[in-house]
Parts: sequence; structure tokens; C-alpha cells
Amino acid sequence: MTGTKPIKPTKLTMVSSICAICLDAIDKSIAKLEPCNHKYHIDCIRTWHNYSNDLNCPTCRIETNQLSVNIYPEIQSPPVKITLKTGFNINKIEEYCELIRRQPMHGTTGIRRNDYHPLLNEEESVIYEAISDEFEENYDSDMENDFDNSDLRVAELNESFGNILNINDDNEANNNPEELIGTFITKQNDLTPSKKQKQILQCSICGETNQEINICCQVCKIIYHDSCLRSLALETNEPATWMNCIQCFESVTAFKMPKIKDDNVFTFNSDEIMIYNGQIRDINSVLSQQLYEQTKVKSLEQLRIAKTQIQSHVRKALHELNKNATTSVDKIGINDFTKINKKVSRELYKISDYEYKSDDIDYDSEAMRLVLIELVNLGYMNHL
Amino acid sequence: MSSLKRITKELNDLGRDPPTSCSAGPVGDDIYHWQASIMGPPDSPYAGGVFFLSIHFPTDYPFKPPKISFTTKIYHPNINANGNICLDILKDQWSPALTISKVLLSICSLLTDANPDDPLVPEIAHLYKTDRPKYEATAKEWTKKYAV
Repeated sequence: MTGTKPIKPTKLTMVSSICAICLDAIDKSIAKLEPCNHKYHIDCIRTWHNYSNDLNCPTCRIETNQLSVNIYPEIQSPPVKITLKTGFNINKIEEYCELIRRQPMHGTTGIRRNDYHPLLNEEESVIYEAISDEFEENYDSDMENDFDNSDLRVAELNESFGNILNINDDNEANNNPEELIGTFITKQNDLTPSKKQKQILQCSICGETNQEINICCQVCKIIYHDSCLRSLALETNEPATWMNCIQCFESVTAFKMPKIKDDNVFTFNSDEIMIYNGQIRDINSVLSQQLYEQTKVKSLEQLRIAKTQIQSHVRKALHELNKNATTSVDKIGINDFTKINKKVSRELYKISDYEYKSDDIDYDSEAMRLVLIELVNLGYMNHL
Repeated sequence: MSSLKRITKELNDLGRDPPTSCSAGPVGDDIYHWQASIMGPPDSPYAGGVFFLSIHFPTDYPFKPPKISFTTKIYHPNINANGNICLDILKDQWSPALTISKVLLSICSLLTDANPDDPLVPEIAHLYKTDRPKYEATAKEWTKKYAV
């Protein structure tokens, strides 16, 4: 690769990874053919695929079907898989989205779930808020009165929900500023003006955000790694066109990446467009699609009903405990009630996989068990 | 010019760890044009002979196979009068993981075990299958005449 500084091969790489095609050490862009696991440089093996009539491994001649690519081994990102039969780089982008989705579970320093937020447009963040955990944090001061009136509770939640979706400036209806809708509107107002300038800077092909990004389209300002652009040109069998932007086909120029801040979000004036499933799409819509898929719930309405139903069990448990409380010390205060309600409800959503499964799960006893654990943590020892 | 780098690497590897029965290296200043020699395998009618070959690397080597031909005359079912070799790895079975060293070893084993079912010279192949002693005698005779 021209323009890339060769990394001095260490003893280890000399022993373990020599690319059989160029006979150089494999120090970056490792591409592993599957199922035989022979390793090559991505450029070497993809060039060979352009020459070869089959997808057999050059070393063992086994027929291969997948290429597992580690573009940046130094940051240990999960490998990108390219299905060789279909062969196009779209997989890389899908893999990137998959990678983002997996981040929270890995607990790594990458993009956490909450980091989606700045990437969403107004409408999407409204829906995001609605399905996020804040939804069930609804707690109003007259909780004491709705002990035996879960229908009313549901109606209230429905109303809150309606307000979320039809957000307007008229929030006088909320007496309690801590309440969901109030909080939500405040957030919206905070976000809207700054969000327009905030954009994520990432390579439009691999989706990575790092200092290696060094190419920018002169016209539409989309940015790339030069290696990604070149690999893409190879993938599409047009190695001569790599100096052209994949969106507008204008020529690209050198680009200096600004210093990366913690949130990986920068000010940048380009439209966020990416290729996803073969379509040119707004990155925000792709990310929110991923977000919806993450919840595994078909519709927002289903999700809302499930949450309301699950939450009613938690409230029931809490109210029951408060009824039985003999002294005022044992009575659960509003703050703790809210805190426990949130935490236990979330726990139950997770167990339920965001669906209401009353046949599989005994919500009453499960809620009581979790509530008691929380109570002990908060020092309400007498409940046990 | 990745081909240049790869060819240079192969040359260095050949110098560092030369194969026992063959040798290879550039002719003059042109790194893309090599000459190679193969010792006739002891268990073959070519024993005692030294066979020279010419190697031309394409500019897109190793993605295209090198062009290899015998410059020494040889009597073999898979090698014709022009020195052309009928060997699958030099044609459709080429792999970029093959090196000149490996290819020369393959040619050595072709000398020991000819492939008369995929002949380049049908007459020699016919003789090889029907009258092996006569084939071996002719091959020995040619070796003595041209390769010693």
C-alpha cells in the first residue's frame, strides 16, 4: 500500500503471520479466509479474488465462503465479515451497525446506548425517549390514591404517552416539573439548537471514527479512510476509481481529522448519509432502525402496553408492602418508591425481553422478590 | 510494483535457503527474467542431466503465473520440442501462494512421474504407456545428448 508506513515486523509476526501472496508480514488489515482460517492482507486476497475464477484458498485450495477482516487490529474491534459470494462491502456497514448494537453488552469504552441520542433527529429522539427507560419513571404525587385503581394508572400512562408523541410547547398541564413530560420537553429544548451543528465524524465506508481518517470529498465533504476507499474500489472491481467520492463521484482530497473528543461527536457540515442494505440513507435513520430492532418489539404500542402491564405488578408489590407497614419508618417514601419502581421494572423488562409474558413469568412474585432485595439495599430491614 | 517486491523477496529466500536439486536467478539486470536449472531426479531416466529453464514473470505476478519453459531439450510426454511444459499449476491451477521454488520442485516430480493422460506430446505419451523401456531408453539418450 502506498502511503502507509510499514510497521516493523516483530519476532512474533514474522513467525506467525506471513501473507502467502506478497510474502510480507501481516501487521495490519488482516483478512482471514473462512473456514480454513488462512490469513492474508486484505488487499492481497481481494486482488487475487479479482484474478481468480473461484474462491478457493490460495494456500490450501479449500473452497472458502467468508472473509473475516480486522481493519484496525490495534483497537481490537470485532472483525468485519464479508460474504464472498455476494462480495460487496455493504456487509462492512451492516457489521458496523451490529457492532454498535453489541457495545452495551460488552461494556467496552465504545459507543454506549445513550450515545445514540445526539445522532437522532427530532422525531426519532422523541420515539427513542418514549421507548427508553425514562418512560417508566413516571411517578406522580398522588400515587397514594391509586392503590386499587390500576385502570386509572393505565389511562394516565396512555395520556403521557400521547403527549410524548405530539410534543408541543403547551406543558402547563404538568404540575410536577420532575414528571416525565416536563423533563422531556426540557431535554428537547436543550438538544434542538445544538444538535443541528453536531455531527458524527466517521469514515463513510467502515463507520470507524479515528485519527486515521485522511480523505475528504471536495464537494459533499464526506470523509473516508484512504484504505477503505481503495478496498471498496477493489471490491467493486474498479481499482482505478478509488480517488472518487462514492456518493457524488467527485474527486477526493486530503483531510486532517480533528482531535477526537470523548463523545466522538464533532462539528462538521456534511449531510450524514450512508449506504445501508444497498440504499443510500440518512445515518440517523439507520441508527434508529437499529435501535428499534434492539428492543425486539414489533410496534411501539406493543412495547408501551408491555411496560404498563409489567409496571403494574411492581407497583402492586410496593403498595402491598406499604399497606402492611406497621410503623411510619417502614413506609416507603416517594423517592424510594420511584427509585425501586424504576429499577425493578427495568429488571423485569429485561427478563421478559420487552414483552409481557404472564404465562412464562410469575410477575407478582418476581416483582416482590426484586422489590425486597432493593428494600434491603436501601435499609428497610423490617420488611424481611 | 508489488510484483517487483515479491520477486525480490523470492530471490532473497532462494539465496538464504536454496532447494537441493534446483537453482534459479535473474538473467542480467532484468529482475522479471530468470534462468533456472534442475538436476535430473536420480530415480528417473533424466538422472545425471542438468536441465535449464527460462522464467518470465508477468507484471502482475503473483496474481498471474510465471511463464516457464525448458531451454534444454528433453524427452518427456508433458514437455514439447519448444520446451513448453504442460503443468496445471502453471495454468488454471496457479495460486499466488506458489513460489518459483515450489514450482521448480513440482517440475522435478513431473520428471519422475510423467502424466501421460494429459500429454503435450501424444507420441511420447503413447510410448510411455505401451513400451516403458523404450521410452526410458530414449529419454536417457536425450539426456546424455543434450543435458550432460
